[in-house]
Amino acid sequence: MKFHSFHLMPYPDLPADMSERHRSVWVDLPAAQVYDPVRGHVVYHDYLDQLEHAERAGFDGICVNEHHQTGYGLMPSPNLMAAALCRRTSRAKLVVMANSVALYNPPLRVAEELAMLDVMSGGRLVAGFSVGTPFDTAYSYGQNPVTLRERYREGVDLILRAWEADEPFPFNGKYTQLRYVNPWPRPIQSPRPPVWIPGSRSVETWEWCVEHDFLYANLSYRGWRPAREMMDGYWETVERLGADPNPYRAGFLVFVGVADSDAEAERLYAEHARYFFNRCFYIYPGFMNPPGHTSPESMRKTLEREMTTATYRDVADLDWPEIVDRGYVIAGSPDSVVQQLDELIGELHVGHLMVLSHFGSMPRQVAMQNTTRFAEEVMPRLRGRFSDWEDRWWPTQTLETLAEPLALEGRTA
Amino acid sequence: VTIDGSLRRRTVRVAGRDRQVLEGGAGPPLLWLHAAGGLDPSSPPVRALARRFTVVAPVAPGFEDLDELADLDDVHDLALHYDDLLDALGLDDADVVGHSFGGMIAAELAAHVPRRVGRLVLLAPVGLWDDRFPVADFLGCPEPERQRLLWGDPSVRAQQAGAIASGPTPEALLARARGLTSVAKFVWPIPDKGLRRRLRRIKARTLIIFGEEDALMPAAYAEQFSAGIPDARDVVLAGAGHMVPVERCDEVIRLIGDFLGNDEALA
Repeated sequence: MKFHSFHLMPYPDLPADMSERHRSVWVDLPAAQVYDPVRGHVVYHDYLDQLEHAERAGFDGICVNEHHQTGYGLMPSPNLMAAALCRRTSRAKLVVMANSVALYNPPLRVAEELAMLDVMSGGRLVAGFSVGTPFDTAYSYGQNPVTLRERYREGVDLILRAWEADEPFPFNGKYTQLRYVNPWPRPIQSPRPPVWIPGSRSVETWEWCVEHDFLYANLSYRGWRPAREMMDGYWETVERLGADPNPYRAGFLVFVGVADSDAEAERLYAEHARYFFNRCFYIYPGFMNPPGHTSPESMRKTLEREMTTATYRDVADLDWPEIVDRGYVIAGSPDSVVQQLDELIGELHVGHLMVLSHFGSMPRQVAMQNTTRFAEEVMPRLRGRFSDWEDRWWPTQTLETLAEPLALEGRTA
Repeated sequence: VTIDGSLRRRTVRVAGRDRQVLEGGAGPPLLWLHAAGGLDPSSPPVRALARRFTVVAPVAPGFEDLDELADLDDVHDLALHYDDLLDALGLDDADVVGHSFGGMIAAELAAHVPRRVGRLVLLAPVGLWDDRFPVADFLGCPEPERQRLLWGDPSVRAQQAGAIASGPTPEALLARARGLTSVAKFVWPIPDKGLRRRLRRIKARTLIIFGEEDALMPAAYAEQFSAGIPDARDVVLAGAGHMVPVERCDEVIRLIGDFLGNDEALA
């Protein structure tokens, strides 16, 4: 079993009365009014410290992601964050989860930056490719939702071919035309780093992952029980296509809060979980499902919901007991967390667990303590799960000796 | 198949695919290009026009089947598709009336293949953008707000938003989803794909009608269309919104009839 520390890097000062003054945390929450870059300086370094701490604590991977125009997460470029993490980490794998390939023209940029990361980190990169949320792609980056998936698939094909090719080649795609594809540098991991795909419930995505030997990761923020159906669909696809049911071809994301007791968990984490669900997830319904982003059938359901719900904006003001009961956050004593995760891991059959030990407005010390307690009191008791399977979705060509940053003398002016 | 007692469904082959066209009425042919809401043969303006013209109303690509969009990637492909469609219909040229998205298609057809369009009527067409008059983000809002953008009269807005809440069948909702997807493919994220620089190519005498209270495509665009098209005039109807052909059906039909010189049939 492998454990990764995932950070969403939310803006910690979203206004409490956001729902009265603004319609959405994503796309059009005015940066000039809400985001303070001086505060942002400290926030970035706090968050990077937390991921570096996760490596020291014993996590296998540290994960960053990509979102745009949002207080939900401050990483429009996950590659910049991974680059910043390269120099002060040496063991943990860098799981970039993920680059929104369709947003880059040409997507070769992604091949270049990820190869840079793999070389800089000594072969520690996990390359994630995502379609991206509609808020990021259709509304913030103006990408046509009708052609987004096709553009994404073509971009991923280009990136993989660029990494694997022996010679420069021309690429005559529908969305990208390049006379000479020959990116420098090439990744250390040959023919390519492991590819992880954060995905939804589409059969096409599952088939695509299995056929290309990509890891399928489910990043559900609504607890693991509702996600069970999705993971079942994935495993059925794996079986149908004749692949092995190796648990390491699947990943899952969980919010975790470790404490001495349920009562202490509430005291430590309730406020920050509420902040996440009520502020970071406060999204204008008009941005949820742009035409063409999903099938007409799932868009029909959205239209139906919009038209039959009197108050179509359903901003659930979730409270801690609901958050815990629904499994949105796996919280409690180490025994309780182990027991809940043991069930989840078995039911979903996932070998890679992505852990959010920071969420919402959680202060640095609370987050680092949560990370430490998870690593020391939970991880070891689940570590042996799936030990008889080989993890083929993990970097195996990491350099044995990494270049070390020079210890500098003197002082800056 | 007779639809609504007057329009028949006809299938024509265009570029190796079946395309649906509704056709009916009496008189000279008139091409009706529908809006993003889809082709409704029972809508008042279509019924009224069918009394004076042989209305030929193609279902825009994708509205019945998203696969129809496969070979149509941009407005140029779309304009040429309608050029092909006129061939398939056996119409060398035709008078064309288009509403909203259909108005944009009509203008693009007339700009791309000027000889195909006899006279042109644009009813609250989209297709231009001016920073002073932002077009509403009708593809980035929930359905009730989209409904509110359509109507000029505030009480009608509320009534329509309420009516739609109890009305549509699952099939109608599915059709709506396909229609919006088909529109999005050609206009995302801003419905301005260069039409302004092509307006000068339009040879057809053109009538532009807007509703003064149009909350989706501001009426300020009426004169921008008429200024860009060499032989055009515009009419702005007070109190009406984006659904001006429905909201002011009688007046719009009279204006179209006068413009197309078909007055005697209007008696």
